[in-house]
Amino acid sequence: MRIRPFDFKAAVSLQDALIQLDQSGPDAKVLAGGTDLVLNMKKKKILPSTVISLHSIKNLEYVEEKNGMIHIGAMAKHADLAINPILEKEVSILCQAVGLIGSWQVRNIGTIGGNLCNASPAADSAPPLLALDASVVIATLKGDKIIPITSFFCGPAQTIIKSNEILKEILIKKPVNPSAGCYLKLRRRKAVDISLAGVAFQAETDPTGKRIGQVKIALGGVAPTPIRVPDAETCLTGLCIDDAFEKIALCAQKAARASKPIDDVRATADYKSTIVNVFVQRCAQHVLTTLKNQRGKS
Amino acid sequence: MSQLDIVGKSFPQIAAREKATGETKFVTDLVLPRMLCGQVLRSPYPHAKIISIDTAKAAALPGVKAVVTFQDTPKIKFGPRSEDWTIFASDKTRFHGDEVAAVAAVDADIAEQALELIRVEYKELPYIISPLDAMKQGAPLVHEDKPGNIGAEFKVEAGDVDRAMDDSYVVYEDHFYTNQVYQAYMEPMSALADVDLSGRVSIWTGTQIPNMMRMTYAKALGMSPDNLRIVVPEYGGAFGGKMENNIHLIAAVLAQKSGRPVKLVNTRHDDFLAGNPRVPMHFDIKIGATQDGILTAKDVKVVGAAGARLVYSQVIVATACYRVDSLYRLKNVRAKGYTVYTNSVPTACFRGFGNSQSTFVLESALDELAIQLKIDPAELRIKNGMGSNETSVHGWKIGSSGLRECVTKASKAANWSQKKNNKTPFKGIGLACCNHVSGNRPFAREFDGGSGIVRVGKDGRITVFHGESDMGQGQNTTFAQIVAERLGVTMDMVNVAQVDTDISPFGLGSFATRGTLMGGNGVLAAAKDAYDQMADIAADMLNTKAADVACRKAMFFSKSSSETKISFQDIASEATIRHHGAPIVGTGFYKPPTELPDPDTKKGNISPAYPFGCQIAEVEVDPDTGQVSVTNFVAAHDVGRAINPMATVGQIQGGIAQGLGWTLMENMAYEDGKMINADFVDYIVPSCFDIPDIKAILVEPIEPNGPYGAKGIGEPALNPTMAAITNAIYDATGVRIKELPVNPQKLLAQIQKLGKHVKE
Ligand SMILES: Cc1cc2nc3c(=O)[nH]c(=O)nc-3n(C[C@H](O)[C@H](O)[C@H](O)COP(=O)(O)OP(=O)(O)OC[C@H]3O[C@@H](n4cnc5c(N)ncnc54)[C@H](O)[C@@H]3O)c2cc1C
Repeated sequence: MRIRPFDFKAAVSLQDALIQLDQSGPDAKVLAGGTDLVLNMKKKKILPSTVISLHSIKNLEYVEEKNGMIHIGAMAKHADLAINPILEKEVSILCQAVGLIGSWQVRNIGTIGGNLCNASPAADSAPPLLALDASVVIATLKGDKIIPITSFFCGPAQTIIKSNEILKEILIKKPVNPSAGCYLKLRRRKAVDISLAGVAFQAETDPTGKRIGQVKIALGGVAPTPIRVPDAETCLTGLCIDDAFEKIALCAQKAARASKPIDDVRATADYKSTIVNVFVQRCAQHVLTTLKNQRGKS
Repeated sequence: MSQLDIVGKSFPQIAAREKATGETKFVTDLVLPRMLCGQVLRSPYPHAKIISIDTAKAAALPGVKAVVTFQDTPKIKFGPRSEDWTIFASDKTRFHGDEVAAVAAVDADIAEQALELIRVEYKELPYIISPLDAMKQGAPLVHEDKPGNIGAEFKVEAGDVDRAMDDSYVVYEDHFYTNQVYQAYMEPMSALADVDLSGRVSIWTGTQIPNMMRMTYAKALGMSPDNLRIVVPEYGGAFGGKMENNIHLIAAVLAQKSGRPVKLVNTRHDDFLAGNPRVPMHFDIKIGATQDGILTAKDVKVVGAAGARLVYSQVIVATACYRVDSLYRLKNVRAKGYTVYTNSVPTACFRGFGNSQSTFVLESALDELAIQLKIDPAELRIKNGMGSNETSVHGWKIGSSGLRECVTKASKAANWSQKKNNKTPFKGIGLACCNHVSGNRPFAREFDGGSGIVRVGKDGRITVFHGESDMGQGQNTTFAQIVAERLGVTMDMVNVAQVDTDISPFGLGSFATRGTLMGGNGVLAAAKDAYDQMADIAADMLNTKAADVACRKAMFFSKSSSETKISFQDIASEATIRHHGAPIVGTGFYKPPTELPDPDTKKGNISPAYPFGCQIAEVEVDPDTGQVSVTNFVAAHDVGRAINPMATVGQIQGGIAQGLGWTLMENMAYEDGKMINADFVDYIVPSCFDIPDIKAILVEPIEPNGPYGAKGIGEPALNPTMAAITNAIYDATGVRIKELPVNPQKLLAQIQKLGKHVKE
């Protein structure tokens, strides 16, 4: 399995990358960590005539907090994100999820931008970002656009990004009230496996800390794209934390019902739905308990 | 035995440094001037008639030096055991991955493009993957001359099974299935072939059986064996998988046609499609016992899927029928085995050689008997286990058996009794035992022993030549230790030559857990010969008799007056001078006290020694997902004497890791007759996080027939692992696993069913 010849270009700035991408035609690809791209080129799933590396662009790997927003550069590596202090403090669910991606080697080189743009239904960073109501900033020659992540994915390996656009950063609104999140991933072994089903569960209390202000649940690997499950979320929204525990089973059922997994060599559709149910329960239990304990402490 | 300086001590592998630093040249790394890159075009269908093959466009592509199909081969039917192979499919392809054509080009890109230019017109034929379906009337035939797709049948019977069953207090009967798994060695199959001006072919390849392969390949290539040379460089693992395979022959045919060296390296995908994975087997087992747990009778039927060619599957099915009978004092046994052609990849040897499959089945059945009889499973094994100096139902003479000691020591180390009696929900502990051979008399019928050559140069440097095969398991280090010990020198003085059929002894190779015992005894005999020659000269120089001479730490001395010492190097130099340049060359062989089994009764002592073992696994089962974690492992193995304890423990750990993968995750999955997970994304092998702590215990009853008392460990390390885990799953959940690998979804459903049952 060899890579067919292609032109390689290293962009020096985002603007430069956009220009080169535009000039190289619609089958050109940008290279981030290459952990998906290079494999797809080897397998001839894609045959780009030009590959434009983003590696020489300075400062696309940041994690910053500005005016209540967390900004994550598209080239940030999973290994760094998994232990980033800002993320750990504010949105630890993302750290949990990216820390489960592949192996150390893959996390050291794979980027969050690549994970999203590759648009695997099972991408591990997607469910937490959906559950955090994140947005993405897309750089175009005409300027940046901000898109909610809920409208980013269009299908397996398909996103809203056009062939001459580049994902620049990810925006997450910092939780203002006490919050907690949990990501669970079904795997066939304890490390280095694609998610067969992923559940991200993020909740934030209301200003009193007693009620659940908002719950967001997202699933990976069980539909053509990562999805949110609003029916399941409403089961818990607005409830007192103590009362919410009783509704976990219902919430999990609704989430499982909303999933549309397929049978494949990894697992059957039935099993994946069962696991969604189990994992939503486990996530909810964990998150609600955390929120309850947080209130106890404050 | 006098004090040992080197044998019994742990040494890192002699090639460890080169391997760890990336210096080792594996087959894949070899380069010859003007070498071409070979690639194989494989059948996209499980069963299809070849209407036509058009290679013109591929041959015309600049950089392509040869395109070959069946027409370019000698068209001879061949095979290591039954002649149902050809180099390339002739009229039809018989499995997804079957070899159809191949190219050799100046680089891999061109070779890959050339493959795409070959036009093959196929007509798809009905296919069968399950051996049970293949046996049914009207099933499509894989080979037209094999009615019912039966490749081979095996029958064995001893005692009076029916009567003993009738007299039994309990009888357990069930169906089990062991699936098709892949060896997952690090280096895919590969070969470098070159043809000299006289037409003599050399093949460099990673093979476990260089000499036997040479005989098979000479026939396939229509040449006499002396025109074929096999060289075995360092290679990346085998686990049974690297015996004969068409890719070596294709490299040779490409080299013949192009007149240039050709290297052919399987992609991982191709290696999955057309390697030689484990024989999947269906078992019907019936086993009886008395009220106090004495096994009375065993009756099995085995149906194994050969795939599209018999490689060694018929011998493996035969082994599954009866080898495990010598683990216990069984007297009444019966087995019937069918090896059935199917339209899947030809299956063959994989660590355990059928005995791992049947050990899973027998040890699961024993767990059931123990439950029914309310006897501790460990106790049941101790009651029935073969002991030293006993003869089994098949006439196997067990010289030494540490089986009972293995069970006791493993039980103690695992805290078995306490854990077995204190139940925690969804946590369980399970135990299983195993036996095996150290060499297998009927495998190569001409002989079964081992041999060696030990050369000592003028400088005192020692080179050991053997004809076995170090695939990474550490055999060369073991041989070096045996030779160093026997000569009385240090390890750094001993070099082990790569196997080259032009130079090395005609060793049978590494299989049947025979390397240490057979090869080890062979090089030991050669070392003794070399030593005796040197001792004569040393005696002369020390003014004493040879019998009075000894050598330790590379110094010869007289045992009666140890004041004067002469170094090993000085003796070697003197020997070469006295012999006008001829080095000391010791040769020797080992003839084991074995016998070919009787063709009808299958009775006969097939191995000079029999290793045993007992493994205990602990598991935790997630009651909501059905997922299994193995949390602890204890493995006590009777290895005779561990020549290199570190390597022996490594084998035990590796065997358990591989067995754990088989039990919990590994499976070659088929859809529409094609393998659908031919890569490491979806063929899952365990990661280091999946492997628990493994406590290896070496039980060392010195084996009278072993070199310095050693037996083998390669295969027994894996044999009991599957049942140890599944018996632990039973202990945790009440669910008996009858099919490998454990499927979490099915386990979950069974747990839920049992749970409901309990509540009702
Ligand atoms: C062994 C292994 C294990 C893996 N395990 C996991 C896992 O457990 N979970 C998981 O989710 N993934 C896994 N992956 C997949 C992969 O590592 C991740 O998806 C990774 O995050 C991809 O990032 P990258 O930087 O390597 O992307 P690349 O391969 O460089 O790019 C991926 C795609 O996105 C495009 N792209 C990249 N960056 C941008 C950008 N800024 N703007 C526009 N387009 C862009 C590229 O053109 C390409 O099409 C695994 C991969 C391997 C090889």
